[in-house]
Amino acid sequence: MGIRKKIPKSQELTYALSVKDAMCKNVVKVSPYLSIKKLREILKENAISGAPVVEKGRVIGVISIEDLIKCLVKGEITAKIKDKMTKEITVCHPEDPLIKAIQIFERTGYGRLPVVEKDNNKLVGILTKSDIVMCLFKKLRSLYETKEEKEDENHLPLYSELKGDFSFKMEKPVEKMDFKKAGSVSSAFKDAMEKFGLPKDVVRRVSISAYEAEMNMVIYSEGGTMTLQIDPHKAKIEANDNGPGIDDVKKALTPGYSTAPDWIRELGFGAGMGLPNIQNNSDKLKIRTKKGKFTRLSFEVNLK
Amino acid sequence: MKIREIKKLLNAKVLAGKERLEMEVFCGGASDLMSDVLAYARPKIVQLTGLTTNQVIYTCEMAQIDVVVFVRGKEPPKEVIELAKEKGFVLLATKLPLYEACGVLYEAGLTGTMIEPLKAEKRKKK
Repeated sequence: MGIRKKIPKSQELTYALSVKDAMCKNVVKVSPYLSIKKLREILKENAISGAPVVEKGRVIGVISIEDLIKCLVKGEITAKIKDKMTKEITVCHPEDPLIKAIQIFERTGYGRLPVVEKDNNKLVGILTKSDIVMCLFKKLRSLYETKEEKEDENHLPLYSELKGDFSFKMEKPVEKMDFKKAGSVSSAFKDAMEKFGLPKDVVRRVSISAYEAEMNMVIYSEGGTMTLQIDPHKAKIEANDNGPGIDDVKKALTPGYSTAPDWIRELGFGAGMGLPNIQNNSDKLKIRTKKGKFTRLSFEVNLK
Repeated sequence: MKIREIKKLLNAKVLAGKERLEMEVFCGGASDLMSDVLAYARPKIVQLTGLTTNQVIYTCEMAQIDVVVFVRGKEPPKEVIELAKEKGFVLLATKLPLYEACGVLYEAGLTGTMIEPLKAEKRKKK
């Protein structure tokens, strides 16, 4: 296997981008029956150096500032555009890759290419070299910016800058059957973990599990408290409720097993995935429960 | 796929997050069961659901999903939309039922979160 030559990004883009990405859609076009004098005004007004000559929507030629100068020198300022324009023109299509247009520019030395639709030759835009440069520049800049954003995410997280042993703790109450607020505790925990700069994957796993635990507490228990704890090695959640306890923990850990009544299912819960989801997302899970008294659920996600 | 394209394909109304329609999503998921959402969820997907409660927003937030399409012409109550706006969500509403909305997006090339790993596994077995 040979080593593939690395292609510069700008060159790669000329294959990926098409003419329609770069072309200018507001084309200043001229009629073949206008005079060169009038052309001079049009070019000056629009600050352009040439224009396609269009009759009945079709491009029949291109006239440029060079043609204009020749006419001025010869004193033919009243001549019609149709007699002075370049009639053998090269065009490109909106779907063409940019590289094709670049090759035409290189081969012919033209300053501009009319862009016409493939099947009906209708003029849809015009492409100059500076359009191509601008398009590449914009694309490279947006690529650069998204890269920069990604690098921002890789900045040293707060928790790794805190030296030695530290421990952060946050405790929140969870109310029984309060569906308006259900989820807000996990939301606050997620916020805290993000502020701490924990890895995205850890934040996701902990907050998914916390949310399942919170919903369980809202739906099935008498209410209680949830605690988030972050230390240098792990994020830990404790969910302690005031009963009534889980009848069969083993069954509750089986995916799809649920004791939820229909109205809970109508709310989108009770699929029997709560504890299994927590188990899948955590590195360590502990459940202690006493019938009629309490359930103490705790789980951890390792930071490394 | 850009959210703008999803909006167009589903002929959807934008309920929140108008300014983020140029954002890209890479996969889609659909469920009314929130625990299922948490089970298959990946960041940067679009979630389709017929459920219109606060829990949809919280569930998606936990799963790092922030684009939600409500199907079958349902629109969530005001406080749900407010909560979503607060959290920077994009919310769309379409008249299509869940199955058809999924079909339209899938046909347009937006696949799910499990199909690629599954295909890779099959290739390995061969």
